[in-house]
Amino acid sequence: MISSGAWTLFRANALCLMRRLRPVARTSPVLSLLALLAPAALIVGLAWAGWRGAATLAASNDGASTAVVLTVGIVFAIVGFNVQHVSSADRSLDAQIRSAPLSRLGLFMGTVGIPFTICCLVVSILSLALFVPLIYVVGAPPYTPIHLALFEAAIFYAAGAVGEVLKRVTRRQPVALLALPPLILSWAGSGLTTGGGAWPGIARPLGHAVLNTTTDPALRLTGGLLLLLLAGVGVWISVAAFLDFPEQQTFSHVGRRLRVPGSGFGVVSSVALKRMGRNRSVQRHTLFVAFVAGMLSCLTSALLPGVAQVAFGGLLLLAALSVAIVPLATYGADRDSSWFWRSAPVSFVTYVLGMVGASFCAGILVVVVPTATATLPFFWVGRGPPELGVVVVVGVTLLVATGAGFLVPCSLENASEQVLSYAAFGASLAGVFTVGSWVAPRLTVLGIPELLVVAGLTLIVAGLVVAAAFLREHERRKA
Amino acid sequence: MSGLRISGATKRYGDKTVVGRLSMTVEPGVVAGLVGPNGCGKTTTLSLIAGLITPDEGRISVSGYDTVVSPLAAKRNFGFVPDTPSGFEHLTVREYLELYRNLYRQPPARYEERAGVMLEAFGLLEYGEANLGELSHGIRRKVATTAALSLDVPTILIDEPTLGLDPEGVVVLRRLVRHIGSTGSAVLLATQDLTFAERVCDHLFLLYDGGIAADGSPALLRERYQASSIEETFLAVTGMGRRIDDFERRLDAFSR
Repeated sequence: MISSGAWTLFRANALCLMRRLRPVARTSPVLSLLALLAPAALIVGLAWAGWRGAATLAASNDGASTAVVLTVGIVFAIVGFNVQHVSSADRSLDAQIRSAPLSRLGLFMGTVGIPFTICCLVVSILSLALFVPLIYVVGAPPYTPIHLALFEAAIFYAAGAVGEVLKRVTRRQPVALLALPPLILSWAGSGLTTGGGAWPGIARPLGHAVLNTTTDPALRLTGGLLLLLLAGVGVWISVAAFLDFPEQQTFSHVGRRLRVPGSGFGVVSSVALKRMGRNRSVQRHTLFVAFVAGMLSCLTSALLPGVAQVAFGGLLLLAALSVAIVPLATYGADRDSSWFWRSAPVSFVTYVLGMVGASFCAGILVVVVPTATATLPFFWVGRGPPELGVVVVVGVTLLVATGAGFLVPCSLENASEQVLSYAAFGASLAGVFTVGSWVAPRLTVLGIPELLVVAGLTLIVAGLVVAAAFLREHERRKA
Repeated sequence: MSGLRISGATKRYGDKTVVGRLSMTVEPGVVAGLVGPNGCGKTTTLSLIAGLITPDEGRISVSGYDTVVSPLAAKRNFGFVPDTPSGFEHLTVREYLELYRNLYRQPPARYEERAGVMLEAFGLLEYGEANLGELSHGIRRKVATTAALSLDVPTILIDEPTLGLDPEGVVVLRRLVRHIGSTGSAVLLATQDLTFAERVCDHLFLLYDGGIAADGSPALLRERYQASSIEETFLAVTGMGRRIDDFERRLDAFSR
């Protein structure tokens, strides 16, 4: 199905990405080493967590098994949506390659489709690292991981399809909405055929299979999952590759006028911020994350008030990870105008600090909307604001995203670049929190107040981000 | 049914018509030029032919293949040099040429031979293993030109051919384009460089306000508008001569 042209294009993109990593390795060898070790550490950590949590989950009730599968589904939905809806097959390539004799499907697969699928595989491997020990401990059938992987892939592609539909609807192509009924019907259909009902659908029998609580016919479950996967992949390919993409209007309304402040730092950061703020992908993405966070928040506060505080923290972290694409991409999106800043009377230091400020502020600004939608339902059930620890974790997450955006820059349209940037972000985040959780208790034991330890560690992370930004920009200018 | 044919092509962005009911033909062996002021629709016309955007009305065919109905077949019959160079900054010059050839599925021996001759003519042999991102805009334009002009295709489209090129490069390009035209290929270039257009093109289309204001051979156009150069013809057709006179008067007022 994938033409040789698509492979050629994908290989060229992949080669470019690998070569882009060389200066990163030169700039920050420690982080590079961490990035190499982090995936292995993450897999081991997840397997350990799966092993440890197995007994608790095995003893839990019927609702918990469904909740586990639904949670996995939500994570895959958010990642799939993130990767798909901000990437573009057209915009990531120059006109000469786009005019080459490559089918629309080939162009899509070469630029978005293959990186999207690789991303699904990577996240699926991480998820299986968590679930395989659990499945082993509870004595579930050996084919259960395959069932889980099928479910994850189906959700990932379906979320990608939804992302593509949303992108087209906001570009005045409402016909794309016709892609949603097959997805909803496939969910209901797979649920009904496997005995899970229309809601929670196939998540219930799959939950049973994962925790080995009841034995549903495996063949029926396989059939339901394949139906779900086929619908997800089919709709994803049909919408993204075969439906004409609406062309951008050249003369569009851009919102409030840009007011340029007097200081150099203000100019750099406000221009970069405004640029990201005017980007429709960013606006759509923030609204989607806000919608998902609000919906989950409403459901949790209404159905599970007992775990509201924990769920709230988790939701905010999920929202921060989802919108982290904005600080991650701010520096990358500014690549094409770097000549302007280099020739303008703005010093190197001002430019770098301005870009760091803009990236971090962009992250904070976009996390505000989902935070608001996630917070309101919890206030409604009488819970207070989030704990300070959650706020710090969200802040550090956005800071690390800013740093990763400098080390492995990505643009908002390029799926391959995003996958690589997200990998660097994940590795950096895992490294920062692993080191932080090892250092913090040891400092507290020495009698240093906890607040001071947290503030100090956050400042160190901020310092590392600024240092990485300076080194990266220095490297870029030298090249 | 060879060559390039456009009939009634229209492209609108919102209320603005960028290209309006444009009709033109470029026969095989003819080097044609689209000239006109900024924003008159030159690049949009080339983008329509190259299949980067679709026309709202009208038909465009390359070697008899409709660019909307049979886009792949049409694309196999032309090479395109855009006004901005390639985005594959981390590919070397040779890798980029190989990528481009692969996409067109052209036999390597013939393509590489032609590309080698062009690279040498443009003085790019020493840059074969250099990353595109490390090269200047002009050199990257030469690479993009080499990539497209080395193809064995019946039609060549070039947007702003002289943009960023040094004088030597312009001379090489001029001879290359004339050679390609003489071998029976149809060449359409969109340019602001009227001197280049006058020296290279057999036929000129003067675009103004999204449509063709005048067309013909450079000699015919000069004669029709009683002008000594294509530049004068251009000013007469577009009425920009009066605006420039007015501008000069205001400039004089500045200096007083």
